[in-house]
Amino acid sequence: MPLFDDLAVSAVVFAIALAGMFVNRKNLVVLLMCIELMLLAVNTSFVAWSAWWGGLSGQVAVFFVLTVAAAEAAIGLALLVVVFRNKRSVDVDTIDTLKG
Amino acid sequence: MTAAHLLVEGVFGFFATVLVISALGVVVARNPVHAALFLILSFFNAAVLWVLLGAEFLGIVLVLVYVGAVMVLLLFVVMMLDIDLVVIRRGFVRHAPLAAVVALLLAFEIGYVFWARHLGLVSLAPPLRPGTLPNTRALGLRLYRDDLYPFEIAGFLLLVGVVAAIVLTLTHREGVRRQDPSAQVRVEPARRIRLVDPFPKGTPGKGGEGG
Amino acid sequence: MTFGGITLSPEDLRAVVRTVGAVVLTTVGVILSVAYLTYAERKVIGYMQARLGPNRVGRWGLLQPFADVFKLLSKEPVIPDAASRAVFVGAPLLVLTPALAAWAVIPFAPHTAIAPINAGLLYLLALTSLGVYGVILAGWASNSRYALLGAMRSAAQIVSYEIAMGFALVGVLMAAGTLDLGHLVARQAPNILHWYVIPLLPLFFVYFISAVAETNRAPFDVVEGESEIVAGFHVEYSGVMFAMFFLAEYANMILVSTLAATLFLGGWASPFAGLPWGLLAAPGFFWLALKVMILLFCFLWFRATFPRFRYDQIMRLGWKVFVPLTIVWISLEGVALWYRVGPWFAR
Repeated sequence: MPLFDDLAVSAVVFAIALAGMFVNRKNLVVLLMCIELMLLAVNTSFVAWSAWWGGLSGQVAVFFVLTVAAAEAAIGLALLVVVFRNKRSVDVDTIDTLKG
Repeated sequence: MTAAHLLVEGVFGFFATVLVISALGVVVARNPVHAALFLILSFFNAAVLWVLLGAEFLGIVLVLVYVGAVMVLLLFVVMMLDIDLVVIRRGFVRHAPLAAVVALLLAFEIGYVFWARHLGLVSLAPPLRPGTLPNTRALGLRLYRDDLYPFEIAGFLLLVGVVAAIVLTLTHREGVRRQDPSAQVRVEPARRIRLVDPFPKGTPGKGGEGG
Repeated sequence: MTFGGITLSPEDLRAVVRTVGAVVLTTVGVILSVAYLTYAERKVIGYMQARLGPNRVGRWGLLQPFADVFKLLSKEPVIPDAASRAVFVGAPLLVLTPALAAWAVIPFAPHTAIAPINAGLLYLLALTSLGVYGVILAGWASNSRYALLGAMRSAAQIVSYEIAMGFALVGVLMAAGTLDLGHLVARQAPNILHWYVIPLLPLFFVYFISAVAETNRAPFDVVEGESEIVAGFHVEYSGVMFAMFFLAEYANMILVSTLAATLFLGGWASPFAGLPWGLLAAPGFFWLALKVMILLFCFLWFRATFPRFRYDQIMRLGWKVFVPLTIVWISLEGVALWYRVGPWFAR
């Protein structure tokens, strides 16, 4: 049964995305991409479980995650553009105006 | 082992490997555009895995929505931004060991949960019930009949996302000349051209006598 | 047959051979059609402009496309120094692959598609939305101002028109109640009144005009805009790689025309179906080809007729005209579905 294989792939991708957030912690663009990668990993495990159970609940969950992630990506990119417009940089450390 | 079975295994192995490699590529790529390209590749490979798992609707939707629209937007934005690569890469090497440790730990923990004998996941017999309906139809029935309200809410969320993105990025700059096509079309000669007689009757100079 | 413990039954083998044969046949067919579409374009536009068009190579210039291909293949492919090499070389492939892969689900005749999958329309929509990557990446990798400008225009234009196009397709989906292209055509097959172009005429126009915009053809060809940005995204390409862009553009034209014919004009169904006219009323590949040719002629006609749109005009047309129009029409269609109007919405 390929369940374990799929879950393993999903776990590895999730771990890689997490590592990516650590090493690229200054770069807003890559941080966004790492979030997308994490969502992809989670979705893959949803689909794997759904196929294993032969039910559709997992796929319905993936559908909603995709919807929310698309909205998240749109707003995230808009914020990114605004940050870059104001700071001329996508370095997370420059976004510190609220830090007293 | 039949040929079809082997084909599925081979396709899975290939695309899963490429998925992991391209995920690594997203993390280590020097240039954000390359990172975005690797991300697109990983979405594509994941879509193939989903199709192999029988979720063909979601696999195609992933390509359509994510690869076809969201990532185009991301690539568009990343290309437009003039990112200073040197500043942005600072701290990469310093954080790499910590990242590797955390990632390995996480992968190990997740793997342990799946693998552990006492949780019994590995030895669990699959309760696979092959669906009688085509995937697209079954999912459609679920979404439009059983989960209609969540579906509507998700749609509303997307609308909010659209409005928010526009509000965030729309700026009204001063001094930009804009066109109003309907105004251009509505123009009449009477409002644009005023015929002026430079020499009204009775004024000297008219007629060329030279006053 | 056995290969190292794997058994391959004769049925498997036959299926593999049949599929590979169909793929090769379709690909060769598409490429040949592209060759003669370029010839037709030059001839048609030539006559529209009171010229003769190509008439030197072969009789009536019929071998001209091959001369063009050999010229392009024998030219040196130049890769600019400052280009991002891997992406630069990969971009033409990324344009061409979706343009060819999309043909897998097209029903050429009753029960004749390479892969009759049940989400066929979705697959097509997904693949056609991938073509934009090759264009964006070509523009970016060239490391040239003109190319980048062309790529940016292309990205914005294709993403915008995809929305109107998608809505137009939603209208067809609602009418047909299936994503399977084979079923979709079969539902239009009884007679000409069943064609979806009749109840969905505005959506047909929106789809077709969006298709012209998606393929970056005149009058929506600001992406190439030779009078302002030289040749847009492919300004730095030459030789074989340029030929691939060229091939992809024309293959996409044929693809969107085929799709329009399949979705709105009854695909392989005969316009005389239901009438006692024997062979004329029979469905077949011939009818699909004829419809596609008529639509392709419109592409060429547009190019010879309309001046190029300005960029903001294109955006306005897409967002402020097409999107609202399709939404209104889809709502009306919903009402028609509810009351089961005509032969189209009766279930």
